Amino acid sequence: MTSQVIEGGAPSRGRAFLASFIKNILPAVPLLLIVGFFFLFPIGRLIYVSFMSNENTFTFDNFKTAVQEPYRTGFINSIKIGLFSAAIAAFPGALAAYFIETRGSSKLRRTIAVMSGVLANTGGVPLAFMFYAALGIQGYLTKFLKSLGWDLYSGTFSLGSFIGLLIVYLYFQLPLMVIVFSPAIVSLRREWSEAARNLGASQFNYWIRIGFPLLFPSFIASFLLLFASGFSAYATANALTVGNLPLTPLQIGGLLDGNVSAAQLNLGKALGVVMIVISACAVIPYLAIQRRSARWQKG
Amino acid sequence: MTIQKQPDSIDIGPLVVAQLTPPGSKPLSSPYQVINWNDIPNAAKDPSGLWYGNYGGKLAIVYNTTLPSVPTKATDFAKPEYKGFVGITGDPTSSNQAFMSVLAASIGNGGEKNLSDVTKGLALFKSVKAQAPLVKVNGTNLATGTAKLGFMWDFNALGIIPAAKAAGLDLKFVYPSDFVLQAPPYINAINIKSPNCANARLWQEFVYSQNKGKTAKELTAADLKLPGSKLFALMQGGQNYFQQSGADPIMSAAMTKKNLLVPSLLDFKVPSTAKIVGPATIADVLTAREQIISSWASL
Repeated sequence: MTSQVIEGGAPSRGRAFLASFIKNILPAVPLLLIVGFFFLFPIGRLIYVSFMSNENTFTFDNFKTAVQEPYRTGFINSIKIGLFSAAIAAFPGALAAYFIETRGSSKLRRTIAVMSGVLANTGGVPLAFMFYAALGIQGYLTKFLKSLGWDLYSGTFSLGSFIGLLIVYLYFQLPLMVIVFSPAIVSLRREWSEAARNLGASQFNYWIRIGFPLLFPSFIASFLLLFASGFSAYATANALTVGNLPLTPLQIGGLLDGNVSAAQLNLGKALGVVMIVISACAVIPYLAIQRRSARWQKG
Repeated sequence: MTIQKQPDSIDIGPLVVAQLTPPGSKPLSSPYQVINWNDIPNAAKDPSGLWYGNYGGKLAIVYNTTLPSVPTKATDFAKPEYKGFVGITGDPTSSNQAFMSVLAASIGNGGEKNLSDVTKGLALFKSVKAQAPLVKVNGTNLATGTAKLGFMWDFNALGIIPAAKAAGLDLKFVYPSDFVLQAPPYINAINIKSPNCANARLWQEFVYSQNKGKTAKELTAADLKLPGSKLFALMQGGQNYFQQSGADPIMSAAMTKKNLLVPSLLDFKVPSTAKIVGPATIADVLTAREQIISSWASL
């Protein structure tokens, strides 16, 4: 940037600043405003209020309560369901994305892209209802399996249990993985594998030394996105459970609009802040990997 | 016209009373006493008019007629033949109806002497849950047969039964044959930040009016052109709407004396063998709440 300004004929510092401002900052102003108003300000406000007592005095009590039972179990369950649903969906989703992008016809690719888009955004009460209709105690699939001699509900299975919720979440996690991982597959150029083969690399060598390292940061990024979506899903879990499977988003919902719990709005906000911290912690390893791989990914 | 940021009046579960009038700081509602103020029992109102009960209900057992036997009392919930179909309307730490269901289970399971102690109710749900996770007993799940048995407000029968019938299912409501819980009433209050407090007061006058009069359906176009006060005298009072729909209007005792009560549309009655317990006081339910909050999540 600076070299261009100098070419312009040694302008004053002020003009240089103005030029760089117009060129670099001004186009970003709308984005910065949106980020400021819809992201930074609400988070700042949330953090501020989470340190307030009901009498508007400073306190750590909300956070002390937030790490005790039953909220602690809520966090553990939420992290567990986020990790498990992401881990189970990530590998098959990545494999599917690979085969669709490399082997599929363009028609198939387009169809899958549209379908994944729809399925990944299927959530909330409709999703819960679909699963009741299929896998509920009266569901069609349940009845079919029972006719084959497998009674799903002979034990303690239920869609409102941890395993049940995990199955339901996979329904949107798998297509989400296909969507977010496909661009990484597309960016793997055929020339690289051809070049590697010309230099004598086996298929196995190519994947170990080139393919996987290139895909790894995107894989982790996709995994974290899946974790976040499972970690924070609200409406589906709310439709399927009655509070026996504590999950942080549901607990926050109960504190904010419940008819029973009293005067604990700020506790709900403290739980929200802890959720943000957990999500942030999940992003840090990604940044480290990203920086490392960015070094040789350039060009 | 500006967008209202706050509601004028609120209609909310009794457990929130403590939140409306926090000890040592300013109440969140503004005092008002309706014309028929003296007809509200003293236990169900704040002496200065910061809040007042408007209607209560009794907990009935809702069940699907395809169950292998007819449930008659709370302890039946734990019968193995109902496994997988028994549940609760929501999370009792945030839903008032679910909260009162735990209380109703408690009095049916030997806890009828002490309404502030719901350990017996928690124990009953725990033994149900030991067989299979609790299902969510709501309109959708009842109408699909996913949920077949649980407690519900008696006044929900008029909405739930026809909806299930339309879906081809036969639901029935009965009161427990041993102990029936008369729950503390839902309360009304005027928001202290009410954008239009005169509007709020007028609404309260309607909610607490006692006329037999014409229902909303029966009013003619000519009636609607009458001056407000004449129209008001012609309309069925708010309390009678509660009565009609099967709830217990808070002024029912006074209205019975004045012969102003219209018939209820419910087609089931408290059996002669049963004893009505309650209404539980606010202090009772506040104590019970602590037990539920501390043990429901890990039931």
